[in-house]
Amino acid sequence: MSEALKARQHVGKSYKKVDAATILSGRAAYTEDFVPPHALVIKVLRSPHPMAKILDINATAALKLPGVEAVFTYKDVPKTRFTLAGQSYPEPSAYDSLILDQYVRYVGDAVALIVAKDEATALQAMKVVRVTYDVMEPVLDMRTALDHPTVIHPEDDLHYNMPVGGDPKRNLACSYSRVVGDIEGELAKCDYVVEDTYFDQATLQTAMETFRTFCTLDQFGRLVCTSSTQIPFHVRRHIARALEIPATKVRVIKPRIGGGFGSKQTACTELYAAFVTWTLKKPAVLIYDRHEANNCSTSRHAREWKIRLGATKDGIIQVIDMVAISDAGAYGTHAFTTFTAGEHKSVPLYNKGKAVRYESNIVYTNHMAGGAFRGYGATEALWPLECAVTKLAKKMGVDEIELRLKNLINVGERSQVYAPDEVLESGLLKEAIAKAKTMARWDERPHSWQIDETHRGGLGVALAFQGSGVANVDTASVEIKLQDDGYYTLYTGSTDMGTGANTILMQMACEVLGCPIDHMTCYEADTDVVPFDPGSYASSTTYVTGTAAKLAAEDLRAKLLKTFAMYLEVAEEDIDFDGVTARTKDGQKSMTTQELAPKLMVSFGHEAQQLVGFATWGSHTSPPPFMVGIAEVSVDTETGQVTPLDYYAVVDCGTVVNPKLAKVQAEGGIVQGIGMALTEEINYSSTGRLETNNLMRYKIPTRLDMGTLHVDFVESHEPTGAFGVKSIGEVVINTSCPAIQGAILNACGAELTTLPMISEKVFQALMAKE
Amino acid sequence: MEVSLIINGKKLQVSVEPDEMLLTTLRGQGYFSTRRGCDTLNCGLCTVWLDGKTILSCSYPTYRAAGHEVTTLEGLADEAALLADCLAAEGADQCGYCTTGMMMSAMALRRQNPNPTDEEIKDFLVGNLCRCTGYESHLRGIRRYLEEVEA
Amino acid sequence: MLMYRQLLQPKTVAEAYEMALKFKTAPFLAGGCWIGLGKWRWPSVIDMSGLGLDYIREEDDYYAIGAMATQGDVERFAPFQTYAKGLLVKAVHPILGVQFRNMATMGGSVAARFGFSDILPALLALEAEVMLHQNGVMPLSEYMNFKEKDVLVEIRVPKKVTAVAIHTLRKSTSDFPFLTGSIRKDETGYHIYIGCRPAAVREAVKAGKLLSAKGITTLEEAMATAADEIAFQTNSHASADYRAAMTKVLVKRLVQEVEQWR
Repeated sequence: MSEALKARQHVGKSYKKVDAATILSGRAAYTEDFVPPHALVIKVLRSPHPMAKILDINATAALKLPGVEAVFTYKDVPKTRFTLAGQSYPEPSAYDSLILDQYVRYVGDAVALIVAKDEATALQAMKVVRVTYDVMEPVLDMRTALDHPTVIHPEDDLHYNMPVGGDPKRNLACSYSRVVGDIEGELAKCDYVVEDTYFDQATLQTAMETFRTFCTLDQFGRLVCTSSTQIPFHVRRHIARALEIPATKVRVIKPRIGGGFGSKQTACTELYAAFVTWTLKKPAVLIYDRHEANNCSTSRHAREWKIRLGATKDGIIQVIDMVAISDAGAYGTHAFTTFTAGEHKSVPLYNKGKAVRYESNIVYTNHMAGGAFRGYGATEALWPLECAVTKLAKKMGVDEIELRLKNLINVGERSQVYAPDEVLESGLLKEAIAKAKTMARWDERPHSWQIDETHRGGLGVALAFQGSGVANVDTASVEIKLQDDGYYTLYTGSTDMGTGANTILMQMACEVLGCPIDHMTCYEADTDVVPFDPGSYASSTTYVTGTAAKLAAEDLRAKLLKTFAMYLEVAEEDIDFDGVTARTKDGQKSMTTQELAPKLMVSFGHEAQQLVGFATWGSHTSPPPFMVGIAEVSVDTETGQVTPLDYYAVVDCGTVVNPKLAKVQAEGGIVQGIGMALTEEINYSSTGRLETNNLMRYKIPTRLDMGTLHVDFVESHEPTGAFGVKSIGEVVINTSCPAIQGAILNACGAELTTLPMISEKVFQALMAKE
Repeated sequence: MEVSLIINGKKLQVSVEPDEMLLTTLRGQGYFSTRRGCDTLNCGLCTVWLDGKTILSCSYPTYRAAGHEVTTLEGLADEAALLADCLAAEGADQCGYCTTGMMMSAMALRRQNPNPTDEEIKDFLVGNLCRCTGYESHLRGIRRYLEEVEA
Repeated sequence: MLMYRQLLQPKTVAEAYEMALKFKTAPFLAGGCWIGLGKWRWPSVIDMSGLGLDYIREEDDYYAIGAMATQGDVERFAPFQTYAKGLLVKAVHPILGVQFRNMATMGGSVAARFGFSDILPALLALEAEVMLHQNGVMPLSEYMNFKEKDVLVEIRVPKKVTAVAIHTLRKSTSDFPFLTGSIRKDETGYHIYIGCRPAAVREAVKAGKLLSAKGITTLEEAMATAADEIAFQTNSHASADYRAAMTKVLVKRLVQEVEQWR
């Protein structure tokens, strides 16, 4: 590390999160804690059928119950279609949703909104609403969705902002295909070819806080929406569009939230609550229970991948051929962008070949809609790719890390799937791999060994990229004000969902200003107060918003120096300013921000003004963080049970702003990945009902399911990011599945190609091997 | 039903339906440290103490708490603040939604077993799920707390 | 969510029994952990918490576990740490978590006779008895098929134990098991119990008889016999075929463990 880096005051320090005391106290901090007393309670009546047209809804009996305020149906809501996907406008997502639709498209889809004085009354009323359905034959298998006789979105007003290869009349939500080079021709020249089919589940983010929103009207008659959301500005836009009102009549506030992981990058409860309050002009609250959270939101996309890799004897992977069928579920949301994002964050790992194909039809089905889940397509794409690379290594009889190193992209190089002027600008990829190998003692021991009579141990490896923000789209603005007491407030529309983003931004801003951290307050995620930010997703906050924060701080610092110079009557170059006190270099004069600020509140004209730093920033590139994961597992060879023993991970996220928080991000992501790999099952009944829709059936890892994690970092310097940062939020989930698959393979020879790798599946693979 | 409760040492008379659960009563009294995370007794977010033993308040009828001591995080203020600080020092306070319930388990464990092994800590807290942290930082934070609380 | 309209509060076990006969569809509210699942609001429930059944007592020849003693009480009861080499503690320990076990009752667990019970195989291995209000004391093995309405008052486990072992398989921590097994070796030979089939635990009689008659050299054959004589079904947690295959593994491990009993 250079001397300049070592001298940093705040960036690189493991500060405690600034909201720690509040969220661990029991004081009001989360959405549910702020619900106004007497707010009307909304409950959603849901479809028992996977595909049906509502013929009649009779709410007469329900409306007669005392305390029932309203029952809203598709007849009552505006007819403008929208997307719920949290993406910058114009969204690449189909506008295929209505607040309430006459068609219901999955078991759990919303049929009616029951509004009552309390929950018990609403539930009582829900029981006596009579609905008549024209039940249609559902589409329950993505493999048979294309051209199925049932058209899930027959509406004529489904709208695309841009072409995404969609054809709803064929149940094609969107599609994507990129072919570079001659796939078959190059494969024919390869000395080694591996081919297999891999499947990943539509796993659930399962944030501990479910979805909830309450709405009120403010003193100007505007709609105020307080919600557990990652995307306040997008939600404001969605509400305005859906209710057909100007966005200026809507305010969205996000308090502390209990996790997101992408689930709250798609609006869930907001539109219902907004409609109810806007219509009734009364406060209303909607809180999803766990069943609804798991069943009536958006998940990862299930995909079945057919992959072929071809390599020549010199060890170079010449062909990467990945063709998938993907399940969009009932609504399009992030269907297109998750697939394209997956390409950008997987294929470039191995850039030395001649041909690439990456394509998928992404089809509508009568399952819960897919949306955004940490990793956002990269996790799904890295599952078949990394498993196939390991398979290729086995076939070639070479070490699976050696094969990867031979093919790994280097800094300064391009990829067949990069933009023409895009290169990998930074990264310490080989260093990260070397470090992980050392941690796991990869070269010092066998990768397959007998533990005891009934257990074998194995090591497996996987690499991963992600991105940092959405290139050319994600644009963040940050505002930093010098308040009248000489302290600073940083305003951001990014959304700290527990990650510590607020803290990180302040570390970066205070680094520039020079002041102690406690001289700054962060206020976030209130659309009336803070400048525009897409929200926290796409691993954008540290890189995009953070760089904007740094620029805003520089803007303010420059203004402060200029102003101090004026008041101290010296040239700017003669001032040393540490964020709190400005001193002349000769030591004769000084002034603090506490002394300066009140003066500014009574000055006007060109002499002085209230000082505000502001910056808007976006990037033409999305520099990829990089991760190496080495899994060590024990397999019970009699039952197939896989027990994670240790996980060794090294992350290159560029400059690490807060090492403790970065480490926890990695640990959290690894364990979510372990859940996807080993314990989290998505099962639909034969009639299309999601059976794994509660925590009893959908098993997220407990603290006894993960073994011991060992996380370390290598710090590259990303030239485009403030202080050299990239990102860490998503990459951390991407290695667990293929690394564990490789460890099982090494341990006992069982080759798993579907997720999760539960004991029965491992047992079957062991039997198949014999 | 009229029920006499003792919450964090304070006597309280409440009027509840027979099937009002303790979680609802506690949140109604402003004890926001208790939260609902599921409806199948799996998550542990609603963990409180009944006579010093951890229970799931989401499924415990309030009327049954009569004559027992109910303790929430708010009633363990100083010790909870120390544990909170130790967790924060490890970054273990991510979204925080599971943490308060987990803290109730951690503080109960210390009373039962002041020198637990890592395995014993994980085992005692297995009923407290977390989705953010990957659990390791919880362990580091609790280790700090066990050292500091003794001092 | 646990919901009920009317809370019936008997003052004696006899009164609870009368209420059960009168309110035919009213379940007993023990720990409330099972009947609280789902969205059903029970018209009436019979509250078992006021009957003083939350005890665990040491009697002369047996331990008496009151129906309202919790799984946590069992886990902490001092004599159970060593009784039957800690078999009861081992049986309840994998159940969900500490908080859950502080609420779930032994009576509720046993009376429900769930297939997925971690406790029933252990109790059968121990030759436990139950005491019912109306029908008195009967072996647990008999109670497993007992259909009449009655109040389970107490579970009795004999102090004198021979060699016993338990082994359960589950996909992840805190999950329901997908197969449970227990074994007892006594003067009458081997008794192997297989549960979570997914149906309730039952004895693999033929397998046990084979081992008893011909000794552990017939282990392989006994494993296959158990897998063959027990009926399995497929459910969300495992297929019938896998359960059958794993039954062989359980039988082997149970026999190996019980052979080590000293």
